[in-house]
Amino acid sequence: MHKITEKDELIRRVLDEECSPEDVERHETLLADDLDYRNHFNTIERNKADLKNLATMDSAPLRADSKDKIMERVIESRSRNLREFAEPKSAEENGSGPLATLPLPSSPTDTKKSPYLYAVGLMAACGAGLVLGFLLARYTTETQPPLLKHSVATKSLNANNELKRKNSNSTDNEKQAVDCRELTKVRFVLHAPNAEKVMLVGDFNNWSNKATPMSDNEGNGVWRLTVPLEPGSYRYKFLVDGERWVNDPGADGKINDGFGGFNSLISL
Amino acid sequence: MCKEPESDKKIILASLNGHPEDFRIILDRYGSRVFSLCRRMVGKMHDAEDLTQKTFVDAYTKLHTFDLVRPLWPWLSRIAVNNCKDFFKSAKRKEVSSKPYCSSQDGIYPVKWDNPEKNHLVNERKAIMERALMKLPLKYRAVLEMKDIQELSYAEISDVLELPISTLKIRAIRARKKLEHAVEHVIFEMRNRHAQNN
Repeated sequence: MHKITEKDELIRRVLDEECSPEDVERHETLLADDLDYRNHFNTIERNKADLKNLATMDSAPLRADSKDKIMERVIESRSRNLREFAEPKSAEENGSGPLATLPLPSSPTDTKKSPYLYAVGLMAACGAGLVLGFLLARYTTETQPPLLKHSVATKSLNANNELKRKNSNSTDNEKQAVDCRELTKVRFVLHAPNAEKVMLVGDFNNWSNKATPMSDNEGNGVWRLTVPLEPGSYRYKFLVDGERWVNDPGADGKINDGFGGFNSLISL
Repeated sequence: MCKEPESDKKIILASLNGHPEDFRIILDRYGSRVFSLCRRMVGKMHDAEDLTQKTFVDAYTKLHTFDLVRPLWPWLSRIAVNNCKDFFKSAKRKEVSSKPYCSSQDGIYPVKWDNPEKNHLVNERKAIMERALMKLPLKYRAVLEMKDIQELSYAEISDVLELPISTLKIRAIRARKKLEHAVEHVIFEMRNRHAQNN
């Protein structure tokens, strides 16, 4: 390994534009008096300039089929993201909404892996319905048949089945749906008269709090944004002035956010 | 009528807001630059293609973390350099620096020593630099790629390579010296080949 001399270090400082006035003076003296230094500096300077040219020249064009492969992987990664985020994670995280009566799979494949879980859930729901039905039958009149509570349970079950069916369909047909670009324009609106800025944050932008600003074009405190979305379920919130998280009062539903609060939910 | 090209920022926002297909525009703009960078770093066309693919897929999945106020290219080049670094970390990968890629199989611009035209001279000089660069060990090549080609600051390079700035400055001196010798060597080889052909 060659030892680095004071002159080498000086050349580096000159080329990297880190030199002091003393360096400049010394450099100019050496250029004038020291032939080796001058030759060495000129060569390295020229090489550096030639290297810089490499950056601006696309010396190797990327082939079109390679670009196609990249785009396939990009679309695929987006579909995967949507699948992961569109489904609630676990029974505990679901909280106590009607959609949380039974645990949902954390991924589409879990549905196949855990039929036991769903059988248990189904039996529990039916059992609860029967018990409630029995109790209601004892304490209500014939004009009020004991089906009210049971019907709620059934509705929950249907809601779960519906969501599972939608998720399953979206899994099977995800690529096709993406390819066909079945996008729905969704307008998000928030009334926040004192806000200076409002961001829409959710599954559709990977929870980025910078990517999707809303706008109050009329200056009346009504913040709007229209976002084209693919079919699926999305969690979201509004971030007001970069510090206050606000739920959407007009959301399709709400879902536990795992931090003691809720996220707004929209299903398409 | 000539339509103004969409800014990177607009395209990124569209990509994030449910239009992943718009990311193709970013790919068209920067694909060749990323590919050229990867090719200089790893040498082989095939590996460079894989790394370019990985760079853009990584970029897309991290797009929400990109600061829209900043220019896109330095961010993309950092992802590419990091991927190249990981590539060489893999136990199975060995240094390929000694093998020049300016061959008929891997090279885009075959070197023609005796071409008098200026544009060919530019390409020729470029080919010399690329071949010389490939003769350097990766640790020197990476510093030159980032410092002299991509023009990142030492602080930025330190962030990518996880090395102290003082080490990088010493490495830059050594890399430039080694490049000087490598360029002389490449020119010598080319002159010899030219002499043999005649």
